[in-house]
Amino acid sequence: MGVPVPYHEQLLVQAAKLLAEDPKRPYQANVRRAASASYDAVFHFFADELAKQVVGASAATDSLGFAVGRALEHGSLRAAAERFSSQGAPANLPLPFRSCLTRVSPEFRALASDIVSLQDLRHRADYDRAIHLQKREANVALSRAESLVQDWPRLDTDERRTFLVAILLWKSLAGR
Amino acid sequence: MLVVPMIHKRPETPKLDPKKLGLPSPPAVKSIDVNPFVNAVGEEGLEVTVHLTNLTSEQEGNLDWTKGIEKRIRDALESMGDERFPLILYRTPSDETPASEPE
Repeated sequence: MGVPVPYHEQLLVQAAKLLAEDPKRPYQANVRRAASASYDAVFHFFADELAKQVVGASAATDSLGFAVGRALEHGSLRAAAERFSSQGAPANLPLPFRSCLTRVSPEFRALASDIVSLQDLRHRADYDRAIHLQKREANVALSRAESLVQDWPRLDTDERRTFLVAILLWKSLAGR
Repeated sequence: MLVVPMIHKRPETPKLDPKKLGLPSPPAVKSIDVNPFVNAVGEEGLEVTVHLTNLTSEQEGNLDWTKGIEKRIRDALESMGDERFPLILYRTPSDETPASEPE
């Protein structure tokens, strides 16, 4: 039996299929669901990475790993990503994280910025019918989500580990 | 005791002039609109609409050019001291409208 395709990859495939559905005159429902699936892919990617960080790769797809993934919240992911994406990082991070990093690379700042943009677009796509979402927006979302997943392993290990701990513990440590 | 109501001043909406941002080109940016909106977590963000003169089919197919524009806009807002996060949308004159949806 083969290895199952990771859930975040399934969501990226789903987004691509929705965007290929009607190349000339796309249904808003397809464009919106594609934008939404692109963000969801990133969210679940981080839930899985978090599980690997906390319980190890071998247990990440066990019940314990899924339990860790369930702890990830959209608000914490966003709050941490906003701070990491700023020119002020890492000095703008909650105190316990400041000494974990001497700098945040431009590549990591861009990745963090993409997380926030994807979440905002997903919110608009899911709930704001007043805006006519262009297929271009969903294509940008999909392309950013794909790049993020692809680029993540190549980024600095300390940045990645600090970010993962930050998104898990943000609520507890944000005010310190 | 005199109670002074707290008045929170609404931050002004920043103006972004494409000529002053040093945007990478192509594609050419005609103008940029900035409007406040409520973001995914209920905070105020900025909806930034970048109006492009046009896009080639190659530019529609490979949207990497958006990265440079987004970085410049984010950096410009931060340097203005505006911490609201931008949601950046791109529009061309030939974009679809609600009327162009399939029936």
